[in-house]
Amino acid sequence: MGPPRSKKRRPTFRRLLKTSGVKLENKLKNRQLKQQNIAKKQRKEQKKLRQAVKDAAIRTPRPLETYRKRPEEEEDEEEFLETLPTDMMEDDDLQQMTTMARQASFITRDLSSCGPVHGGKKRSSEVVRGYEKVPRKMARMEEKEVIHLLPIKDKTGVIPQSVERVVKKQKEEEEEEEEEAAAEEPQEEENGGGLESIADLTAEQREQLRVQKITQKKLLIAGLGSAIISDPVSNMKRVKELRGMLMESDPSVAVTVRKLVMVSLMEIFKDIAPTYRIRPLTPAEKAAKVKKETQQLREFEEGLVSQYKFYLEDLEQTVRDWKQRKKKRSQAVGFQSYRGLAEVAVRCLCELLLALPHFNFHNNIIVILVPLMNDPAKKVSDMCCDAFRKLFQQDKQGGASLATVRVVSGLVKSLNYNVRPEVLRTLLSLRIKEVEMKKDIEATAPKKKFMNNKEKKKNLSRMQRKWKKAEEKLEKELLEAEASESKEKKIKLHTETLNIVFLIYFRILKKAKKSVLLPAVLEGLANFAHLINLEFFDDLLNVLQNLIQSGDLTNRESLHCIQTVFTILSGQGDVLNIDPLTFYSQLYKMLRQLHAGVPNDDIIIVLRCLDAMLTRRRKQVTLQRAMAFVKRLSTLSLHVLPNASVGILAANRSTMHSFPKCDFLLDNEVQGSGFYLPELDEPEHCNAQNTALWELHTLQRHFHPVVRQFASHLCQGAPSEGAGSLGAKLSRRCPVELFGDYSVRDMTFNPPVAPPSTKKKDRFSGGATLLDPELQRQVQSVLTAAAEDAQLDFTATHTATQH
Amino acid sequence: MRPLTDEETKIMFEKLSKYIGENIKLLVDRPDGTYCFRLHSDRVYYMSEKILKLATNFSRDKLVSVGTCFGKFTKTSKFRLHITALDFLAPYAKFKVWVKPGAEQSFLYGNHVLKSGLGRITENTMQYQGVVVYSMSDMPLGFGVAAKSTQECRRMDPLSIVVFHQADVGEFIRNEDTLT
Repeated sequence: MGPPRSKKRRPTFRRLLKTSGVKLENKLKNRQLKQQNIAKKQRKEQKKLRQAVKDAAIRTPRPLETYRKRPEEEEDEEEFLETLPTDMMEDDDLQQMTTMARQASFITRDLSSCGPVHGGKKRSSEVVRGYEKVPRKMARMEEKEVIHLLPIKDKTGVIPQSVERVVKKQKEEEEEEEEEAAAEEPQEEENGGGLESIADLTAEQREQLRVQKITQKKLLIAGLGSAIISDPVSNMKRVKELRGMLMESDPSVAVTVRKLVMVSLMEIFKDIAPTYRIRPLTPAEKAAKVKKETQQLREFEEGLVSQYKFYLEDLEQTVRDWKQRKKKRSQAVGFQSYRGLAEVAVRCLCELLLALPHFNFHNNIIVILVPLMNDPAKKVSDMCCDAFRKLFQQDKQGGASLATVRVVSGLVKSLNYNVRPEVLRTLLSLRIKEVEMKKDIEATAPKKKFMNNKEKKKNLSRMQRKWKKAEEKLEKELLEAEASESKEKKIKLHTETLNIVFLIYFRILKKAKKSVLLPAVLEGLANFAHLINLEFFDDLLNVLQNLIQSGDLTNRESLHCIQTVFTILSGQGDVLNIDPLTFYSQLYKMLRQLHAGVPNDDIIIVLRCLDAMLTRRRKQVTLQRAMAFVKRLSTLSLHVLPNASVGILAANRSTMHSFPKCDFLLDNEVQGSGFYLPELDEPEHCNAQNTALWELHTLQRHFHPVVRQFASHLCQGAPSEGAGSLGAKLSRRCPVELFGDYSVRDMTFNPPVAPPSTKKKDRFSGGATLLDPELQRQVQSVLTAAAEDAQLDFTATHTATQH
Repeated sequence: MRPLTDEETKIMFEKLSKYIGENIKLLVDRPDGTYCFRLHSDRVYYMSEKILKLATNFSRDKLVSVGTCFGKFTKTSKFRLHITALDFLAPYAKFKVWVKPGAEQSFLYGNHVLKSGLGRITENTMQYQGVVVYSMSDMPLGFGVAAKSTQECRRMDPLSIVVFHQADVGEFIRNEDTLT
């Protein structure tokens, strides 16, 4: 039933199987135990499922009779199913009835989002519903070339027999799925009349026929699915049968059915795949005699692996057909609907990527999906990028991340750096916290053994040696028994992953400086800067400096460069003892170009840089430089948005705290020689010590209360306590946080705007302080008169002043 | 006292640009008045125009010094920088070396700076680049020439020389009589 396999693909399977781990005898035992547990769990779940269906049945009165039978049958049914011959289609009516009843439950559970039957796994019902809407439209277009139908009808001639029964079942389904209610009634009549010639039918009838066929197929899928889930070990052949439906050839329903089958198979595999990787048996193992149960288990595993493999190949083939725009199977499936099919296939692959990272062929899924991240179709690439982002986030061991990163690296290289930046941005969600830094040093030093054999013989008694041997053995066993992944292994994987990530980044920096990927690369470097190996620092600094000095970066990109440099230097770069003067100058230069326009977000990077450059490196920064920065920053704070002003003033505050001598800037006496050169872009010798922070006086009249507060605080020399100190609320927070707090992005003003009426009163009360009593009296009378008159009547006030 | 010839100007500016690069123009075009270089008995003096006018009142043989001495031309017509220029060149220095407190004294006695005494160095310093030597508390101490580039410095052993000594503020005492 399977599709014709080309011989090319087979070896990849074998190779993959060869690579899986070393065998252990007791592992097999463990596996059996696990399998038993799984079976037990499944049985339990099945029971739960029935319970749920029963509850649903009680709620709806009509189908009660069919469901009511089931609780009694429950026990025998399970046994019954196990004894079933594999092909369900040829069984007699009773069997059909029972399985159909279960099919209904399968449909309600999977497709119309009932409660979670299988504990941990989450299903999104929208996924299925969303795609259910799509194919009908597509297939309807197909329908017009309906003449092909005839021969296929003959082939499946058995089906009409069962159709009548199906329709009865549909009535039950109707209550739960109301969408299809409209089409049901006339269908029944038509069934009675038989389906002699399709060509005679009107468009409406054809539509009905199609709906009917789809329902029928749905029930078939559901039946197979629930049978498989109820007892996967003995029902492997049904998986095959279900998979066969992927090759659905009836053009009127092919697209829909294929999509349904893809999704159902995906869910099934997610359910029945064991929690371990299945490895092929060695010839010795095959030859050995095993128990009957073991044999059964082995067969199941083998079948599962091969079915899963074929399924994945089908999915891949679908995607590839779409990509290559082949018209290979176009008799059954129209050209336009390939896209829909491929999207569903990609979605299935993404789900499997996330759900079965431990299982066989995970690498193959990665290999298929990574190139699709760069797909021109936005929907597909977004889906893949999302999936990989999630994979990176949930990947605790790091094996899957490593494989993915490897493939991404190859992709980027092979496409000659013409990839979408989103591909590289997914790498940002890698969960890498620590790596081996001094690998080279420790790795080269040979591990010293506690005592070699000769010494042992000399120093230890016979008894002691024996004891020691036993101890070592025990330790080894303990290590083996430890089920969780050891930390060392994880770190090793992470190190390798990170090396590849950096390789990608450095390659781009070196070879494709002008590509669109640069922002993503810089962002990534800034993100992982603390993990970069010390060896790369020099070259990286050089490259970044050249980049900045080349001048074709945007502000944001060069800010990212600077941030990267200082993140590197603030970590283990401390030992380097270098003074990155040029980067200071660059930032200083850039501060002049920032403004309140669109790139207000750049300020937040500036604030981060300043924290690293001035506050953290305070011991390595000269006073001149700090003062120049303070001066230029306060100039900048005059013409940016209020939240940026607050952030910048807070940064100034922390700078003034780390360089107490900055209070030169607060008095207007000239220190030393020279004039302040505001336009010179060198912080070292712009003579900032000879200027004053006059901007603070302007800022004290700022409309934003917090800016005013900060400005007057700075004016008083930023005391940390006493009258001029800031409240604990403001002084505790770092500039970046303050920037976020007072952001006006969502059109709210923080703090809330006070009603303006109170201020007016203050101004008028100033009149009371006039020295001349005569004038005072006059003002008073005018003011009271103005208050009395609702309308502005100037003549009235004039007369009031006369007497 | 006379202005420098083109040849002399070239030699001297080449020397200065080793330390302060293109910032030389900031020495000449100052917002607080015009400054100029004058040659007097093989020494180059840096002074403001005002002082220059006053100095013309003295005859050549009576004039000992005027303004600030930047250095002198040797008999082979090379320019040698004097420590007196430090105050004017230090703020414009492009490349700096900071010396650890322990190695400060050794440098001030006229010795080269060893790797062990190197506190910090500006990134991307080339080999044989003129540098200004600072103490860790940012006090300019003298002039030097980088013996190794920044990258090479990292791999040197602690006793190798990283900065060659050229002039230091200790000379104010050691060569008190010849510094004018």
